[in-house]
Amino acid sequence: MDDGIVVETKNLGRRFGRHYAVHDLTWQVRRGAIYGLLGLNGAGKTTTFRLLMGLLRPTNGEARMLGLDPQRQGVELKRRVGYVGESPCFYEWMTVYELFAFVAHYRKENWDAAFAKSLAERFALEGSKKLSTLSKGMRAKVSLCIAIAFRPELLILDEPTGGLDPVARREFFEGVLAEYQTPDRTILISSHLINEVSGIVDQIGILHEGNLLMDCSTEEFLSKVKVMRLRFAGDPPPHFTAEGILRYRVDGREGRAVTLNYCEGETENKIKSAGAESVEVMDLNLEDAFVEFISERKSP
Amino acid sequence: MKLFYANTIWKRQMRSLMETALVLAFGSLLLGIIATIFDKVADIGLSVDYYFPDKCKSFLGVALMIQVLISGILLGSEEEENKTHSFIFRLPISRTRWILERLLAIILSLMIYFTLLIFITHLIGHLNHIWHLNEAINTSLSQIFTLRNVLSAFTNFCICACVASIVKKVLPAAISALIVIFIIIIVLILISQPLPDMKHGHNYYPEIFFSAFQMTLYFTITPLLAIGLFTLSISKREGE
Repeated sequence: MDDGIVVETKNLGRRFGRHYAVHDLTWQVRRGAIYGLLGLNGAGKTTTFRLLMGLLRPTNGEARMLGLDPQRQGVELKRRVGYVGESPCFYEWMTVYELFAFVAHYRKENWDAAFAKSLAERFALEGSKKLSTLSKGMRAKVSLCIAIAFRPELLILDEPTGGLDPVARREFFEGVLAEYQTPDRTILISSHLINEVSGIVDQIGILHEGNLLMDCSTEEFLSKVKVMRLRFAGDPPPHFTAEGILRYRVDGREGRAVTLNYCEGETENKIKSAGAESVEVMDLNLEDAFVEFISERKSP
Repeated sequence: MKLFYANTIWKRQMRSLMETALVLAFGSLLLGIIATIFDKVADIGLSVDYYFPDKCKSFLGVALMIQVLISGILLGSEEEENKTHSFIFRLPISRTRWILERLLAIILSLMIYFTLLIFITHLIGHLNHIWHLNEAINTSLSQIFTLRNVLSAFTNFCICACVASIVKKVLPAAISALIVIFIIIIVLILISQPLPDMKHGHNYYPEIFFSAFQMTLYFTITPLLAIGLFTLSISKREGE
């Protein structure tokens, strides 16, 4: 996998009972990307990450990260990949610095003690404090420190900022991740706080009920999903259809339409030819675009 | 090669081992006392000729085996209860090495446990000798603090611990507690069949008497429960 692909899955699936948490996932992530895996709760993001880390066995299909098979080459893989899970569990009796020393023991080739210490200071973590006394947010910070301090080639962050206060979240995204990121390092991130990651992710994938519905650059996604204000000669009609329009509703004296496949000029023309007098296209931020995209597919 | 329980873990692990050994030693001691009380009750003719812990004195081998398994489970309890295995498995350490090092820790715990047990036994015996305790107490103490007695009492402790741990994993606490109590009662009833030729406290060896059921219970069910739980504890993977 030297062609710049760091994550590759082929028909990867994981079933719990009768329910597929991840279903036939065929997916690639390029080296250097900051990839945001988005989805509603239960979409399969965490399961995907666990399959990639070799923490779960796939029901079908295969996965490779950095050219390694997570099931057979798990130790080598974990040597090169940093992973922050949803709810970090540690030895509660250790202090923060004792935990660092413990992790450093297993990552001694790459562990950067000075960087770890600077991260702890940045996050205002007291090294002598026992982990059992730390709040959820502080534990999340510890988890981030030990995942980043050995400067892994690939960093997987599963809801990394859960429990962090807004200041710490901003510090993490704008300070820590920015410092960590270099062209040869890749970050996979899932977060329900989409607006926070929108500024940093350059690729996104949208998972829904275990299926990958979208895999493109953030720019491309934002250019496709648009909301349009439609004005009509009289009152807006209660129902309106035109090619490319996914949803329509009356919003005061205007109509509001959503398209998931916007094409500049062409979409406006189609709407106008269907009866609208004018069309005003509004840009959406990533969170709004995601909500518009996913709400069509949500189960009732 | 440095061990998994190396560095900072090691100090804590040793402390944990000592704590485990102490808890086990005193747990056994308590059961030994109960055994002795049952002995006394039986001796004064209250027809209580079943005394659950005392009857297990013959099963030294089983007690030893279960001791090994339970020590492992107790040692692993931190990993299980705090889900720290999910943290460990994110580090570059192979499962084989992890299991081997845990087994090593079990052996260490076993050694410490027996050392403590023998030490306490001798200490009490010595104090007893120094203080010239009266005959009754002397008899009781000598009964309580024989290694076999304590170990056999511990066997029962192990059965309860095994069942409780297994049930705890799958059922809510209240139901678990009821089931455990129920199982303990059943086991007590089943084991309490009178042993016609056995004189309390004098014969401890297997050739005296084994009912087929007792043999089945101790040599099959108990180790199976313990091995099952141990396998569960070491094979557990995050999310599975």
